Amino acid sequence: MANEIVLGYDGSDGAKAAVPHGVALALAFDVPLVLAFAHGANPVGGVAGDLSRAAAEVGRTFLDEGAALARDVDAKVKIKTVLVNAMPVEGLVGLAEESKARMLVVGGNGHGTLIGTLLGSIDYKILHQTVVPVLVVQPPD
Amino acid sequence: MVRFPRAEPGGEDVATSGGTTAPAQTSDGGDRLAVDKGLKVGAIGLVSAVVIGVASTAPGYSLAASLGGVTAAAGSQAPAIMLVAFIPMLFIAASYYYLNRADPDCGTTFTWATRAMGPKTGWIGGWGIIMADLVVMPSLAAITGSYLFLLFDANSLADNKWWVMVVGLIFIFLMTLVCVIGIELNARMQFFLLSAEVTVLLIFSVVALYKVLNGDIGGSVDPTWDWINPFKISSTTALADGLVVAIFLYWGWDTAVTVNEETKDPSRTPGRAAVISTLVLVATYVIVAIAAQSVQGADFLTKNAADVLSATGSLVLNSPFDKLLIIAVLTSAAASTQTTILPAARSELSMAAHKAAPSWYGKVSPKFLTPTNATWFFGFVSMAWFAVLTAVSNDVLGASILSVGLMIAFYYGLTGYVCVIYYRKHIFKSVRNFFFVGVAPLLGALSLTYIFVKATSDYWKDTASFGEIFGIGLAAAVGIGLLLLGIPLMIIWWIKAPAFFRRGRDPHPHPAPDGTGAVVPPILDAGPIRDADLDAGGKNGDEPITWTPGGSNGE
Repeated sequence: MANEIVLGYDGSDGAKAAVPHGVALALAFDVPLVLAFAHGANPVGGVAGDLSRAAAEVGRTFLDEGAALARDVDAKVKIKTVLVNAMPVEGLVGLAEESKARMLVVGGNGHGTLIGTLLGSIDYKILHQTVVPVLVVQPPD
Repeated sequence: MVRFPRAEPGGEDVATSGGTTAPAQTSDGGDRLAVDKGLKVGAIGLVSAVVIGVASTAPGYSLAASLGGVTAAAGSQAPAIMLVAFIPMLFIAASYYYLNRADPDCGTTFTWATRAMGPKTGWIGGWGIIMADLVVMPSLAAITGSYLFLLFDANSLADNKWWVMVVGLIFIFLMTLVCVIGIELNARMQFFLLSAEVTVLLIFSVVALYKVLNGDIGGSVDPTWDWINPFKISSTTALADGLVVAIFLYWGWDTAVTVNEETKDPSRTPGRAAVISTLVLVATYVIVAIAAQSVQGADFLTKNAADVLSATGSLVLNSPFDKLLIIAVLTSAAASTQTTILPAARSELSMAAHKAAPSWYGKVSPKFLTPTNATWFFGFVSMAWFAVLTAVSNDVLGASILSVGLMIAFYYGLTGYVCVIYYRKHIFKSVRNFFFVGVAPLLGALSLTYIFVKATSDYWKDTASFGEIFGIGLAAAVGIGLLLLGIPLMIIWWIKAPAFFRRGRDPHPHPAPDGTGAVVPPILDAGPIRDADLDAGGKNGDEPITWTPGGSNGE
């Protein structure tokens, strides 16, 4: 796989807002849209087998939801879904880079910068950590 | 390595089995995407593995909490106890390592004991883990409360247990929130904090020993080789009571071993990480114990058990450098609280996922991807428990450290027996097996059983140190009482939801310790717990690919 549009989808308002843009880009470049959900557990807590499975379960539901949203935008779009077994930033960046994606699309968290800084804004980190072009879509107010 | 296919809803198996990599079905050459087995593989390097192991053990906090307890039991031989205590820990870590290869489930002892000895033993093992985590929380909170006051020279507040309780409760609440949201320090920050912690402890030790040997501190005691000689320990009572406290010092070290599945080079990294973190811990504990004891003798540490590093630190390091030691203890306590709450919540999640507890505990927040119900529940019970213990005991810290030692001895010991029983048909197949899944776990389990029985009987009679309940010493009453409380709760759950208790032990053949030879069956045939609300969303036929950084699935 290469040249795809990778879209991080976690069901948030920002991610929902990003879907139409991801679909438009995928259609414009005539490549598949890869919907990705990243989940990883803190290794400090020890073994995470069950937690990983439960989180993947959540991810599955979100990916179904995201795929349905994307098809609503334009049924012609070709969709792949990926569960990424890593923390969101390293996972999405890793997936986009390793699959040589054309562009990585993520939703903004819509928080002010202070909360974003305190909680570690994912879109901000992604923006600065990859050579893949990144599109950040903020949720509507 | 053979692993059982995870039961996924809808019947699809995402996991691999038989060591093959299921080809990822993508239209244009999806060979880059390997289906994995539900664990993060290729995520952790050697340095991170060591950091995780040492941070989970939290040397700064562990010393602050238990040094006084060890000297109380063993006097001047405290450093020798530190040395000896590592041996059962090392043996039990072998059990963790090999059982984890059979089933890397976050229920750990709960899951493994269920497989090897049946659901009732497994349930009590899981209960033991959660209770150990619960019982240590008052100590974490009390240390944080008093050291925080000491940091700002509010010494009278640090001695007031009610003020310490207020700060401690706020601390538990905040740390629970951190675990619920899933905030985690990045690897570099963790590495920095941990290095700072160990460096400060070593600076303290070097300066203390230098000053003591120079005669700069009045009342100091020159260290002798007898301090680290285990054969000079005065009695079996001193040994057992010292060890039950000292086990606590190494508690959490097993994490260094069990994250092995997730390391970059699973055949070498875990072993090396275990060896390095061992050396770091044993060296730190022995050196700090010798140094602290030389400052004013062992009795001084016993008398100042509640703030032992602060009391000795202020005699050794000039202001404001003595505050560094306090900060090191505080960051260590915060890290340790996280490594207490996370596994406790994950054990609850695991029990719920296998229907050994109400499914409510298994709910994972779609936003934070953490077991939110289990985490909050554990946080609030800890707060209640801390408040109750503060009201009952004169010395919350001392009583909780002693009883947590009992809990750890209980479930670590059980894990040792579980390893021997689970792999019993493989023990005599090779010399390596014989020692690593036979002799070592059994010796670890037997010594922990001895420590558990001996310390319980000693604490039972000791009504003076920490107060008493019904004429039983508080530490024994808490330790044994909480373990026994599990039995009625288990029976209630057995009556309400008998499915879990109907499963027997895992049928043979079990996989070999190296993970080959047999497929591990699921605990129950049911799929993982899902939020009923999320369940409603229909599938549209797109089964997602699972992708893990690093490309391979590490087989």
